[in-house]
Amino acid sequence: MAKPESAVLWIETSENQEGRERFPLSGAEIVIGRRSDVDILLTHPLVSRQHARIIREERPAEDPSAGPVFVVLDLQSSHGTWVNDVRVDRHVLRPGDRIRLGQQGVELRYSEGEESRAGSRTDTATSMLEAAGIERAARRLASVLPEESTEAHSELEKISCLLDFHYYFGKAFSAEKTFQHILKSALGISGAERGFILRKQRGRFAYALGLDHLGNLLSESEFHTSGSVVDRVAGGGQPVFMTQGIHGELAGSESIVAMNLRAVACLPLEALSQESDAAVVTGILYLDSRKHMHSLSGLDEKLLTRLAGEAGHVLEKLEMVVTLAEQRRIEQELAIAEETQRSLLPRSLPQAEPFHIRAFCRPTRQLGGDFYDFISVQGGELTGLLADVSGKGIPAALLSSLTLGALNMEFRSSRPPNEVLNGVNKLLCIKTPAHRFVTLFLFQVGPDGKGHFISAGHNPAYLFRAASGAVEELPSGGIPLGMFPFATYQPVALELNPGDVLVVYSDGLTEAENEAQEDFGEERVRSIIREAAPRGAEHLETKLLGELDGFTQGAAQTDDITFLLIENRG
Amino acid sequence: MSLKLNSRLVDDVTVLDVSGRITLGEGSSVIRDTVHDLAAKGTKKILLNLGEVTYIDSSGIGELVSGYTTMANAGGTLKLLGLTKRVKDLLQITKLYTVFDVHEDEAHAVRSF
Repeated sequence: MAKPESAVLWIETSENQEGRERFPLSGAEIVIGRRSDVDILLTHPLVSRQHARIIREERPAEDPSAGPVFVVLDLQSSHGTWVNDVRVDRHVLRPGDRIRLGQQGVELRYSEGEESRAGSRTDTATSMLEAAGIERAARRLASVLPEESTEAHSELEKISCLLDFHYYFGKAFSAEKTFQHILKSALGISGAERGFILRKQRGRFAYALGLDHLGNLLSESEFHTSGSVVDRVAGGGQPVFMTQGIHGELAGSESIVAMNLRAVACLPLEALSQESDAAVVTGILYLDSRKHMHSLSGLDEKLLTRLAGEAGHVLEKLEMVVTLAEQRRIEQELAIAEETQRSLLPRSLPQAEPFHIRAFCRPTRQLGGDFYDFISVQGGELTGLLADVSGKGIPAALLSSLTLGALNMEFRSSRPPNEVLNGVNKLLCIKTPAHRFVTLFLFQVGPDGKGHFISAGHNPAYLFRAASGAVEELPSGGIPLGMFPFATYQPVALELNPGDVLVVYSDGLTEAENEAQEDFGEERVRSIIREAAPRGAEHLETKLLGELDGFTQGAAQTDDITFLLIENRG
Repeated sequence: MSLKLNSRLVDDVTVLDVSGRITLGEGSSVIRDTVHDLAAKGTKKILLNLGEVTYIDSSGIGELVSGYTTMANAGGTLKLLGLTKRVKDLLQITKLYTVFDVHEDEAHAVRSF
C-alpha cells in the first residue's frame, strides 16, 4: 500500500463535478464540524459542532506495519460518522473511502496523492478555490450564518459561486459575458428559477440579459415583472427580498399575481457617481421563482447583497471599457476621414511663373472642412481656390469631397469660373440640406498678373500692394454655395502687380482664440501682412504662424486654419 | 450659455426669441427643428428675434438659412429681427443680407408681413 505522505479529502458540495472541493491532509490533526473554530467547516444540519477528527498514525493499532496512515475518529457526533455506509467510531482510511457526516449528510472522499483526483478540476479556477481559500472564506462568511440554518447543505457551493464570480470579475471583457457570470452566480446562490440584469439607459432601467437556472438565455420578451419592485429598488437603493412567499403591498401587484410568483429578490447594482461620492444605481439584479426560493437564509441575502456590490463595480468598469472602446472607434474613423481630407489637398504646389505660392493648412483634431486646390485650365492661367465647408467631422469631410469633385468636373468642361460656381451651387443645393454650405474664394490670374476673383460668401481676401504698402480687401460678392439654388456668381477684376501678395484665408485664422477667448482678429492679420509681405511670401508665412502661435499659446484650436499666399515675383 | 428658444404670438406672427450661442454642437439644430415643426403645423409667418444671441458661427448661419428655406418651401416667410454686430458682420461677409428681410423694430417687423 502506498505511503500517504500527502492525501486529499474531497468534499462533495453538490451533485456535479464542479462542486468537488479538495482539502489536502498533512500530518496535523484535522477537526471537521459546524463550529467556527474547526479546520473543515461544514454548515449542514446533520453535522455536529465538532463532528469528526482525522489524524495521522505512524503505527496503527490494527496493523503496525501498515503505517503511516490517516485515521478518522468520530467525536461522539449526534448523527454519526459513516464510512462506506457503515457507522464507525474509528476507521483507517483507504483510497476511495466515502466518509459521511450523518447518514444523509455531507460526503467526503479520501484519496492519496495530490494528483489522484485532480482531473476533475483542471481549470485555473482551481487556484482560486484551493481548499485553504475555501476554508478561509467559509470561516469568514460563517460568522454571519444563523445558528440553525435550515438549508446549510449547499453553503459551500454558494460561497464558491461568489468566489467563482471573483475569479471572472478580473477577466470581464464583454458586457454579455459579465452579465452571464453575475446571473449564474446569483442563481446559484439563491436557487431562483430566473435571473435578469437591467441597466440604466436614458434614465430608465431596461433589460440587459436574462438567464434561467439551467443556463438558458431568456429574451427581453420573457422579462415582465413587477414594475413596483424595480421602482422601489431603483428609487431607494435598498434590496428587496420576498422569499417566503410574496407579502405586503406587492402581493396585490397584478404582474406578480399574474406570473404566479412565489419569490422575488431584487437588488441594486451601484457604482460611485462621477460627479459626487454618492452611490448611484446603474443596474438592477432581479431574481424570481414560481417556487419558494428554497434557501434564502440570512447568509444568502448577505451573499447576494455582496455579489450585487461586486457586480456594481464590474458594471462601472465595463462602462469605462465601453466608453474607451467607443472613443477608440471614433478616433479610428476620424483618422480615416483625416486621411481622406488630407488626400484632397494637392501634393505639390504648381509652378506658375511669375508667381510664388505658399499654402498652409492646419486641420483641427475634430476634422473641419477647409480645403484648397489649384486647377489647371487651358490658357496657362493660374487658377486657385480656398474653401471652408460648414460643420465639422465626417459630414464636413464628405461635403468637401463632393464640392471638390464637382468643381473639378465643371472646370474640365472648360467653362468660365462663374458658370462653374453656378453649376456647383445648384448641385450642392440638391445634394445637401440647406444648413450645410461652402464658402469659397476662387482666383484666376494670367502671367501678366491680370485676372479676376469670385467669392462665394467667403471672408474678404487681402491684397498687399507693393507700390503703396497698403492692404486692400477683396469682399464677397455672392452668397455661400449650397444655400439657395437661385444664387449666381459674378467675377470681379483682379490685378496682381510685381511685389503684390494675395492672401486668401479661412476664418479659422482670424477667429483663432487664446485662452481668454479673444480672437486673433482681422486687424492683427492685416498688420502682419503690412509688415511682413514686403519681404515675400515665405517670410509672411513664417511671421503669420509665429504671431498666431504666440497669440493662442497652445489654446485648443477650434477650427481649421488655412491660408494661401500668392506673390508676384515678376 | 447654450441656445434657448422661446415662442410667442404677436398678431398672426410667431416670434421666436433666440438667446445664447448658435454654434455647431450647442443645440443649433433647435432653430431648424422648431421652424420645421411650425411649418408642418401650417405657420406661415415667423420672426426670428436674434437680439439676445451672444455668438454665432458659420454653422449657426446655416441654421438661419435652413429656417428660411423651410418656410419658403412651405409657402411662408421667415424674417430676422434685432441683429447683434456679430450676426450683422457674418450676414455682410456672406452677402446673406441680400436674401434675408432684416428688421430693427419688432412692431415694424410684425406689420411688414
